[in-house]
Amino acid sequence: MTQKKKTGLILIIVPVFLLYFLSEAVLREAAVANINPQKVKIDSILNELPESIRDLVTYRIERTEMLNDLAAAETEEEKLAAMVSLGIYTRDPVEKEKILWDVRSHYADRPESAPAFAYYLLNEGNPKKISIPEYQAYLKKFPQQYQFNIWAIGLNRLNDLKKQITWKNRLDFLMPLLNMKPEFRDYSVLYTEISRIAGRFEFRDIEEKAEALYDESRLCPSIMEFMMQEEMERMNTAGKDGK
Amino acid sequence: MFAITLLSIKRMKEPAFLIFLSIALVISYFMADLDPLTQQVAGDSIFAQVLDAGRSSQPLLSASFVMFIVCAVLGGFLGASEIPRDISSDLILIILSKPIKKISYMLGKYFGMLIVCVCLFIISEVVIYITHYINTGELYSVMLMLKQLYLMLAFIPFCAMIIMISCFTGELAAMIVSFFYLVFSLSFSFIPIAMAMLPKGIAGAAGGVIFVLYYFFPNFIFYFQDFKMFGLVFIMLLIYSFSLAAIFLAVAVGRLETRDFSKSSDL
Repeated sequence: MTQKKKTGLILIIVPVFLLYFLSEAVLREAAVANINPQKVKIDSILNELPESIRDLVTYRIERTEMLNDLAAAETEEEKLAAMVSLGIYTRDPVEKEKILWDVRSHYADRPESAPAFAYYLLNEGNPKKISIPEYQAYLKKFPQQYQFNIWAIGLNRLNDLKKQITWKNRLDFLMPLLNMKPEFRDYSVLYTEISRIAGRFEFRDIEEKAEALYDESRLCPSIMEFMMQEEMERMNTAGKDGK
Repeated sequence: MFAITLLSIKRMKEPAFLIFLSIALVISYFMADLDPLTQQVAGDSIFAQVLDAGRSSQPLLSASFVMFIVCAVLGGFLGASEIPRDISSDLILIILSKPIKKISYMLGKYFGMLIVCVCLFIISEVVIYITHYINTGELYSVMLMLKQLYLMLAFIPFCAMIIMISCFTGELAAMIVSFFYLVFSLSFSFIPIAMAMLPKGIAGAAGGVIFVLYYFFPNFIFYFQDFKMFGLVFIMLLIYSFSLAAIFLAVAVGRLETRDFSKSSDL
C-alpha cells in the first residue's frame, strides 16, 4: 500500500470511527432508555446462565443491591436494616465481621440488631463471642412483641451450631421463658420446644411448666394482630389530632 | 466496480440462488400471518421492552423478522464464497490485470451481495403482504410495510462484515466464521442492555473489558428496537449502518491491498 493510500485511508477511517461511536452511543441510550428494570424479571436472564456462574452472579447482584441500599439509606432505621441484611448475606468473612460488629456496637439498644448478636452467640473462633446469658441480657431490654423474634433468631443460631452445643445448652437458652408470663400466641412454639427438650431428659417439672405456659399463650393474641391494632390506634389518634 | 457488481448479481440466475429464493418464499408464505414480534416474546423479557417502547405505532412483524434472518443466512452463504472463490480460481488475477482497482473490485462484490440480500428480503416481504391480503382481504398500511423495510438497513453492515471475513479466509471457512461472528454479535448485542438492568457497580473492572469486547461486534438489536419512523434514532441508525460498513470495508481493503494472490493460487 502506498503512503498516499495509507494517508487517505486514515483520513477516512478516523471520522468514520467518530461517527460510529457517536451513533452507537445514541442508539444504545435509545435502546436502554425504555427498559424498566422493575418490569424485567432478572431471573429470566439468570436462568440462562450455567448453575455455577448463576450462583456467583446472583450473589454479586444481591450484594451490590444491598450496598446500594446502604449507600442510599437516609434514616437510622434504613441504615440499620441495610447493614443487617448485608452483614448476614455477604460471603466475605472480613466484611461480615466488620458490619456485624458495627451493628452490635452501635445499635445494641435496637431489636433489629438481633442477627448481629446471634452471629456472635457461642461463636468459638471469634474473640468477641457472647455467651447465652449475654444474649439473654440483650433480648430482655425489649418488650415481648420484639423479644419473640430475637428468641427465634437465637434458637436458629443454636440449631445451626448442631454438634458444637448440647441439648442442655438449648434448654438453658430457653429457660428464662419459663419465668415469663406470655402475652402473645407466637410464644407457644418456644414452649413446645422447651417441653420437647425437657421431655427428652425427663425433666418433668420443666415439661409441665412449659405445657402450662403453652396453654396460656394459646389464649393470647398474635404479635401480628397486636401490631395491627396498635397501628390502627395510632392512625385514629393521628386522625383526631388532625381534626 | 459496476461490472463486478453485475457479475455478482448474475449469480441470481444460478440454480443455487433460485433454490434459496424458493426456500425464502415458502417460509415467508407460512410465516405471513404470525402476530407482531412483540406478542411473540415474553412481556417481561428485555427483548420485549426493546421491541415495544411505545415510540411507534408500527410494530415489527414476526414474519419480517424471520425473513430478515433467513435472507441474512442465505445471502451470507452466497456472499461469503464470492471473493475466496475468485482467489482460489485465480479469477481475481485476471480481473485485477484489467484497469480495476482492488477497492473497486471489493466494493463491486459488496454492492453485489447487498443487492442480492435486499432483493431476497423485498421479494419475501412482498409475499408476506400478498399472503396477508389473500388471507384477510386487507392490506397492511403503507407505513407498516415501510417500517418492515427498515430492516434492510441491517444488511449494510452485515454484507460488509461478510466481505471482510471472506477477504481473510477460504470459501468454507468464510461461511463458518461469518456464522459464528454473527452468533457472537447477537449475543454481545444484549450486553449494554443487560448492564443497564444490573445494579450499579456490579461488573466492576470486568464491565470495562466486556464493553471493549462489545465494540468488536456489530449490534443488530438496534435494528429491531422500537423507534419513530423519521426521528433521531432513524438518522443515527443510518449513520451507524454506513459507518460500521465503512470500517469493515476499510479492513477488507487493507487485507486485499496487502495480500499476495499468487500464493493462494492452486497453480
